[in-house]
Amino acid sequence: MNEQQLDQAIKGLTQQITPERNLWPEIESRLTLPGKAGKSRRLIRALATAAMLGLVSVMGWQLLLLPSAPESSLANLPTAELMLLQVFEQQKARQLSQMAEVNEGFDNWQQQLQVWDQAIVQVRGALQFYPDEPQLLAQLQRLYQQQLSYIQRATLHHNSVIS
Amino acid sequence: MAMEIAQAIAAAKNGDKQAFHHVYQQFVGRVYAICWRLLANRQKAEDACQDVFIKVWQQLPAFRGDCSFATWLHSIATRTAIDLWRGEKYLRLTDSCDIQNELIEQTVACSSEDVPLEQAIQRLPPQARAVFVLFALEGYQHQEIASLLGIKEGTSKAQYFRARQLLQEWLADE
Repeated sequence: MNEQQLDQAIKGLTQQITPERNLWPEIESRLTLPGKAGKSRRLIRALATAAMLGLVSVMGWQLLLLPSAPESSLANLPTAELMLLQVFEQQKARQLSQMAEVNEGFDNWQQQLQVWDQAIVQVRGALQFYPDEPQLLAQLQRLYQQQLSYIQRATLHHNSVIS
Repeated sequence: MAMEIAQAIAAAKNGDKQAFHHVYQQFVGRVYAICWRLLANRQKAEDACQDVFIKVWQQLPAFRGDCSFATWLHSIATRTAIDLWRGEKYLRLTDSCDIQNELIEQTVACSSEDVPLEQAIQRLPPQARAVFVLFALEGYQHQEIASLLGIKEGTSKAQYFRARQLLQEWLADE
């Protein structure tokens, strides 16, 4: 096929494709009256922002304590685990502090973060028995990366808002 | 017909779901085409299409008519599909199993479309496909595509060239 034939084929493509199933019933069930939706969204976002600020302040406080508490259990952690913990927790705190608003569909973001936190606790528990075990460290790193990626997706970026 | 749609949009702005259904019926084919071509997966395209109309409903009261409704809707559809496409890009990097599953799903989705070019577009690598769809079918310029996809303008041009080459090659074999 030459350039011209391809251009012809492109011109011949239809502008519309009908979905194989009717999408309207699901759309309709998700429609709320604009005014009402706006109010509830604002309320949810305000609550989420307040909760987020609370979480950030607690995490910030923990990070401040981290270097000045050599007697804490953290001081006894193997180097690799401690490094991962410090790097990712700091990054997480920074991302959360930059989180202006929560994207739509991420209203339960705190519960989601808790699920990852629980998984992180379990892997760290296993690391107590097998310190510096490469597979467990990789798993810990993956969990943190997933959590950070989720926070990024939950954050409302200005360029994703269409007006 | 144009008058009828304008009235339906005005009524939908005031919360009339019936009128919004009329708007949906009028534009669903156009929105779905963008989503399906960009995402190359029926289920994801359906989800994206639904998200587009939810966003339109939510943002409709703020629509002041500075541009045509179709242009405004088209912009929301493109951005929504690209946001999902970006998410897919991340998943592709993290889980190779998804790639296999996606290829299987793509084949299923393609079987519903008999046009060879349509099928060939679905076979394109994700970035080349996105650039090709946006440039050749949706009329975006490379500079705009670069900004939308978070790539360099030169990359957009190179991917478009690559997409055309692959399409020509595949369609010549048929």
